[in-house]
Amino acid sequence: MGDSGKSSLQVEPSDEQATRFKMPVDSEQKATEFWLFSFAAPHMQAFHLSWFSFFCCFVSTFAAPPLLPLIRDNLNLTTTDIGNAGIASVSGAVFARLAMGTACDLVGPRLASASLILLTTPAVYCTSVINSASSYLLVRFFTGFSLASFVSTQFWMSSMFSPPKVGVANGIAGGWGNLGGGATQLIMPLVYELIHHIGGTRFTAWRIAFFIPGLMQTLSAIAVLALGQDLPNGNYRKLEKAGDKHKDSFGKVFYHAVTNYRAWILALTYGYCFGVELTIDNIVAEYFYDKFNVNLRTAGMIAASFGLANIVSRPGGGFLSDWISTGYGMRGRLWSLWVVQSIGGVLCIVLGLMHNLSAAIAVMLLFSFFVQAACGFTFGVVPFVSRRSLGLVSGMTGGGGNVGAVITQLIFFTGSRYSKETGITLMGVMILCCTLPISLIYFPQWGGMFCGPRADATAEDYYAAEWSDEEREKGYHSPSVKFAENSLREGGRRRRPSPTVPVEATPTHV
Amino acid sequence: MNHGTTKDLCRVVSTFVPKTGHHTTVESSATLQHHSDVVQDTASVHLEFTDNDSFRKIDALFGCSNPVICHAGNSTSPPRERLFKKTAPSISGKEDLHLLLQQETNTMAALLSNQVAALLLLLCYIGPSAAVLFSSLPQTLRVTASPSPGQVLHAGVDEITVTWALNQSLPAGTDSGYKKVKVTLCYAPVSQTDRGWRKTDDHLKKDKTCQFKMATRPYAATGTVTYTVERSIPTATFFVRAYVLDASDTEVAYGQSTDPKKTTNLFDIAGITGRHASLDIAAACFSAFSIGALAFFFVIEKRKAKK
Repeated sequence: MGDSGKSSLQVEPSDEQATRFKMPVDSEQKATEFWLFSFAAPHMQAFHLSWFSFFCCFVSTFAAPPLLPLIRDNLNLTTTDIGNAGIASVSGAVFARLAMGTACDLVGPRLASASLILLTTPAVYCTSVINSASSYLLVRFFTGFSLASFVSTQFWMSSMFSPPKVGVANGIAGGWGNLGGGATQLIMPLVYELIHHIGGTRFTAWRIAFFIPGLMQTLSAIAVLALGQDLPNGNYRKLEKAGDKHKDSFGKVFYHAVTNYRAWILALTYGYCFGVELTIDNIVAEYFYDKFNVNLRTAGMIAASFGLANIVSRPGGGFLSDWISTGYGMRGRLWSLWVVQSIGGVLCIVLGLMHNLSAAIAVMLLFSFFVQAACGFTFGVVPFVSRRSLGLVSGMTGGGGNVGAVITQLIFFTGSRYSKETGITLMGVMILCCTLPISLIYFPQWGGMFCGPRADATAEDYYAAEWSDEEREKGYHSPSVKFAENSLREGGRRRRPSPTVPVEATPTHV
Repeated sequence: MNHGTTKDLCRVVSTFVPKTGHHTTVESSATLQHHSDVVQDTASVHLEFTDNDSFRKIDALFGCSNPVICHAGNSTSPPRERLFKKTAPSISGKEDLHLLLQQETNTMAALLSNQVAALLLLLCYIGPSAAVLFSSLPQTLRVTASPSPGQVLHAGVDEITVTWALNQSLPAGTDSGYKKVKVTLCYAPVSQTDRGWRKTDDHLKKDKTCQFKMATRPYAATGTVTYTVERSIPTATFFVRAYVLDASDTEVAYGQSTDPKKTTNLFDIAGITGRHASLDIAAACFSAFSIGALAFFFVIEKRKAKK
C-alpha cells in the first residue's frame, strides 16, 4: 500500500509503546498501516466493528423501500405518505449526526455509537407492529437516527489511524457501511420470500422479516461494546480517570467547530455527494420501473447495484485521497475532491437525459462511482479541519449530507412539478454549483485550491490555536501537537523538512 | 405511433377461376390499406367484381389471428363492391391479418360453377397493434355482486357472490367468440387516488385497476361464482368486473357491477393486519433486551472506572 508506515516523517513511538501493538504505530499510537484482512486489536478490530455496525444501521434504515409493495397495501399508504416517510428517514439523522459528533468528542466513539445503535433498535423491532401511515413515518424517522453512527465510524477511524492512512480507513469504513443501503434491497426481499414460503401470509411475512435487521443491529452493537476500544491506549473513561486524557467541555468543542468555516463548506459539499447518494437510494428503483418499464425485481436489482458500487468506490476515493497527498499534500486532496465531485455532477445531468435502458444503467454506474468516491475524498479532508472538535466537525459534515438529501428530495422529487428525469438533471446542475465552494477552503499551513501556503504558518499553530493559553500551559493540547507533527505530509513534497522531530520535546516554532 | 397516415401495405390480386364452365371473370383486387392513429388501426379490403352475379354469391369471411371485433360487410357500399373493414386497437405487437375469401357455391352453380374456393391469404403487418384497449371492449354482460353498497367485508372470512348475464337486448350471435369469463376484483377510484401502482390505463396490459382474479369459468350466457375474500386482499374500496375472453385468452367484452364512472355499488374490504400477539411480544422482548444490554455495559464501565 504505497508509502509503508515507517516513513521518516512519522514520529516514532518509544520502543516500549511500539511493542504493545501488532501493527506499526506513530507517536499517537495510531496505526500507520492498514491491513484489511486482519483483526489485530485494537486498530483493525475497531475498523471491522465500526464498519459492520454502520452497515447494519444502513440495512435497517433502508429495509422498508424494497418491501413497499407489501407495506403500502397492508397499511393503505398513499404516494404522499411514502414520500414523507422517505424524507423522514433521512432527516432524523441531520441532528443526530451533530449530537453524535459531540458525544464522540466527550465520551468516545465506542460508547456513543453503541448507545445510539441500541437505542434505535427498538424502532426497527416496532416496525413489525405498525398499522397506519403515521406509525410508518415514525418508525422510519427513528430508525433513521441510527445513520448518525456514520460519524462515530469516521471519528473512530481518525482516532485509530495515522494521517497517511486515515483516508483509506475512513473511505472503506464509510463505503462498506453505505453498502448496507444496496445490500438491503437484496436481503429484505429474500428474507420475505423465505418466510412467505415457510407459511406466513404476505402481510405477516414482511413484519417478521424486520427482525433480521433488528437482530443484526443489536448483536453488532453488543460486539462493539464488548470488543471495541476508543483509542489505541484504552477507553476514554479509563484514560480520563487516570489523567491521561483531558475531559473536554461541550461549549468549547462546539465553539471551535461552528466557527471554523471549512466545516460549513464541507457540510454543504457533502450534501451534494452523500445527500445525492441517499436521494438516489430512495428514488432510483421507481425511476427505472416507470421510465423503462422493467419489472419490480429488475428495478430492485438496478437500485441495489447503485449502492453496491460502494464496495470499491468510496474506499477508492479515500485511497486516492491519501495517495494524492503523498505528492501534492492537502492541495492535491482539495483539487481531486473538486474534480471528482464535479464529474459526478456532469454524469448526473447526463443520466436524466438517457432514454435507452442500457445507456442509463451504464451512466448510473459511472455516476455512482464518482459520487461515492467524492464522499471518500471528502473524508480525506475532514480529519484535518479540526483536532479538538473532530467529532463535531465530522458530525456537521455528516449532517450536511443528510440536509442535502432532504432539500434535494423536497425541491425535485416531491409532487409533480418536475418529471423524475428532469429532477435528476437539475440535481446534477445543483451538484456542480454546490461543489464550487471547495475552492474557498484554505489552510494557512498547506494552502488551498488556488493559493499556496503562507510561509510562516505551521500545522502546530493551526491546531494549537484551538486551545487557549491556559489550556496550553496545562498541556491539554498535546494530542493536537502530536497530530500536527504526524500531518507534515499534508504539505506535499516540497514542504517536507528533512530532520525528524523528537517525540518528547514540544517542537520549537519554525 | 402514426397519426392518421394511410399506406398501402400490400396488394394482392387474385383471380377467382371457376373450375368448370362458365366464364366468370371475377377480378378481385384487394388493397389493404392501413390507416392508423393513436386509437386504432383500420384495415380495409376492397373487392371489386366484374361480374354482378358472382358478387352476390361471394361470401367473405374476415378472420383475424388476434381476434378483435371484426365488422364484416358494409351494406352501403356500391354494387359490385364489397368493403371489408377490420378495426383493431393499435398498440405494440404485430398482427397477422388473414383474409379469407371464400366463394360459396350453391348447388345451382349458376354462376360460379362449383367448388372454387379461392383463398386469399393476406399476411400483412398492421403495424404496432395487438394489445387490447379497454375503451374498445363492449359492455355486453350485466354483472351483479352480492355486497350491498358500502358494506364492509372481512378478508379471509366473508364471501362475494357474483352473477353475470349476457345482455339480452344485444343481437344474437354477439357471444359467438366468447369462451371464458374472468371475474376480477377492481379498485374503486377512491382507492386509486395518490397511488400510482393502482392506476387505470386504457391499455389492458398496463392497466392496474383489477389486480385480483376471483374466478375463471367457461362461458355461459348466465353464471354465478362464489368467492371467499382472500387474506392477501388489502383494505380498500372495490367493485367487480367480469372480462369475457376468447379462445386465445384475449379480452373481447366485459361487464361490471358499477356504473361507467365507478361511483355506485362500491363495497369495502377490510384486509387482515398481519399482526399477531406473538409478534408484538417478540418486538417488546427484543427491544427490552437491547436497552438492557446497553444498561448492563454502562454499569460494567462504571465499575471498571472505579477500580
